[in-house]
Amino acid sequence: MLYGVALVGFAVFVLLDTFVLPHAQTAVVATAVGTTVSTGTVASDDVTTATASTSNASTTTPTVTDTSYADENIQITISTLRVDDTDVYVADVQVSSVAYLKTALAQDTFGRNIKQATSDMAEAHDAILAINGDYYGFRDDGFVVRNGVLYRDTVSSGTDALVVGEDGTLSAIGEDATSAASLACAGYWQVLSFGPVLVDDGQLAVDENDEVDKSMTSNPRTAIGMVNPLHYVLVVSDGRTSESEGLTLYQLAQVMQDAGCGMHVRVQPRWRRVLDDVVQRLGGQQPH
Amino acid sequence: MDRMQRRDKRAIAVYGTAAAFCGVFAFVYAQFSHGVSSVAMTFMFLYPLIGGAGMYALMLVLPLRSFGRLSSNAYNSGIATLAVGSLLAGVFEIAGTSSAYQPVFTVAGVALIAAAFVLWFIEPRRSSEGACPRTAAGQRGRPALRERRR
Repeated sequence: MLYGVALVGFAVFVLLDTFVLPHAQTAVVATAVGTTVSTGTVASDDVTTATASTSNASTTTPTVTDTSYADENIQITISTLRVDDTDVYVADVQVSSVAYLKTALAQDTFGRNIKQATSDMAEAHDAILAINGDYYGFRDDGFVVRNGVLYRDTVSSGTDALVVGEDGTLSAIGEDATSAASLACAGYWQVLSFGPVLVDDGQLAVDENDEVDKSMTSNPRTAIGMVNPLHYVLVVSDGRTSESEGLTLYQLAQVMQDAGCGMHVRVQPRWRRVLDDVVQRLGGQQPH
Repeated sequence: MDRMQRRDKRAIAVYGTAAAFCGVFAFVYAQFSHGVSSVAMTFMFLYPLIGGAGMYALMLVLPLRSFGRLSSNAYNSGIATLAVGSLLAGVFEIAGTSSAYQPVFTVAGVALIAAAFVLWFIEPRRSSEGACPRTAAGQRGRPALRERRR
């Protein structure tokens, strides 16, 4: 009986430790790239990929509509599609410098189970557009480099890392083949751990039988792709709701290919997205 | 049927119920996992079924000495630990995460089962009909009142 109580108690502790108890490890290192930038982990342990515009980044008044933003450094156009019974949001982003493609960590803290709503993070970092990123804080492995700062160099076996170069080029590197430290030293601005690669050199890199881990159904998805260096496509799809069924990896890859991506990687499945909040933000409404 | 046999049959019934519960739990959990599966979750019922009910059934069928009290406690604790560890492993797999404490359940479960077999060998043998003393009259239980007064 006593052992049974201890066993159950320890199991509850392990569950709390894995899903609930925050483990803060490192405060974010502020990097100034023309403007103040805080980087951190995205809400729900995801990394937000944020395009931040600051007061001293643009000298002209931006042009803002319900679905677009444009200034001399950043142009964003958001379109809403209906694909395979699923609402899909596609953001076409062009920037003059890779410094405008930033990431942020929840509560400006690197660690496990550190959480913050993506919309709150976007507002705190004055982001024009924000989406959730990888789920680094939900596990203990996978490369983490944010805005040039190395936070974790533990390999997630079999995982592709999305690397953003200083020239704005997106590429995928197998984590088994390198280290995050070498990537950071080589000047890669961002390194996110997820995958798989869906489109490579304009061709679909997955087929209809591919799925992430053990997931075998349509899901909400987030993905980032590159048309050309400094020209990106961010895709967020809804899913698992009465309105939207969700996309398979193959369907997501087709959306990215149709959007003109030469290379694109799935970022994160199964988490809520914030693109609808951003649409509201562009329209002047407060995100929820 | 002696006391040990009754205990073993009771253990088989309890483990069978536990295996059924594990199977139902895994089935229900799978309905809410959005199509994500886990081998650890799906097959965790095998620990109580084969490791539990199966072992005690072997002791009944084969000419094997039953577990004593200590070895039985250790063995049951080991099976429970492995089953709980498998449950947590399934939860983590489906969620797409992991825990540094996961190996503790496997190590502890195996260690308890190993200890159970060691105790099984070194525990003092009991009579095949249990530990109840026999009276001068050859009957089990306490001596008759007439004999005690003497």
